[in-house]
Amino acid sequence: MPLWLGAALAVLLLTVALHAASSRISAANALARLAAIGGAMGAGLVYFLMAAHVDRIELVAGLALYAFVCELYVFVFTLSLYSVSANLLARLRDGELTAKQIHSTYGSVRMVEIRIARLVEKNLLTRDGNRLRITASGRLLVDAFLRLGAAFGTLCDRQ
Amino acid sequence: MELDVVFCLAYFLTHLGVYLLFLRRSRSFRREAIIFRYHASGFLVSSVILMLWLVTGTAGASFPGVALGTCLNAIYSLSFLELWALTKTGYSLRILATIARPGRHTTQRIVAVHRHVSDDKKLDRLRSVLTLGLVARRGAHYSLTRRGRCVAAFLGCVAVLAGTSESG
Repeated sequence: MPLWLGAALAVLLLTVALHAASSRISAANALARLAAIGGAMGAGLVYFLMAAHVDRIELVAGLALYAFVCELYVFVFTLSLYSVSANLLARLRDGELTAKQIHSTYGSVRMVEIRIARLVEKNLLTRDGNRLRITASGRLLVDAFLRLGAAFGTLCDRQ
Repeated sequence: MELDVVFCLAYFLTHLGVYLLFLRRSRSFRREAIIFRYHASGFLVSSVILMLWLVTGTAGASFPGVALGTCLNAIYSLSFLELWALTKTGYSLRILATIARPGRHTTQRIVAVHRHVSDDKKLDRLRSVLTLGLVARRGAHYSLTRRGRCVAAFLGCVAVLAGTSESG
């Protein structure tokens, strides 16, 4: 196996292992933890490949492979955390359910409340008594996604 | 610059350009399945071309170059699909966008406005997992198929590994 490929795969395994270990000792957001660990390990990979004097194309290929698998890992764990489909599959793992049970075990009101709580936790919303207010970073995020939605042509489906 | 990298850059620009200039206005391209196929087919075709270059020993093609091109394609498609899905169906973003509008927004009002989205989303996702063959319906009951059990177990393992226990 070429050095750049072996090094990228080894660093990937180490990143996933460190991320898993960090979740046992820190309550910080899973994505923030991965960004910190992944960034440091990515820098380590670049340093190692440069020290090994691999070709420039091999260095960039190793880094691209590492970045892609990290993104895929983020996609899968955010899917398992936030996706309605993943939640449905998790509930069906415990046994079969009727349509009524599916709706009642994961109520619509609860779905909205969970999301509001997460937005407050991420400082995108603030609670002022019973009133919800968007923060500056929340507004920036909404503006960015509205622009992106306009570019993608997906906004008309949301109105 | 290597030929395979130049090919990938040309592929991104063409693929994104065709979507932004023409396809985004098409009704069918507002469906998740269609946009997924657009990216999957593009990824498959570009990867096969890169592999053929490598196998036939076309000038400039190398294993790291082909791996780089394939990874860049994969990053492009995965990022595009994630952002596209977020702008189209992102539930939290919908809630944020509602609160960003002028007016008095209480928790009860936001719940009242968005709870129907939850119902629609659950029905829509139930239909999707049935179509994908992850869930089967027997009379009034829904249960996981063999494939569904594998996917659920995989997602469960990733959640445990990443330390993300709460879902929804």
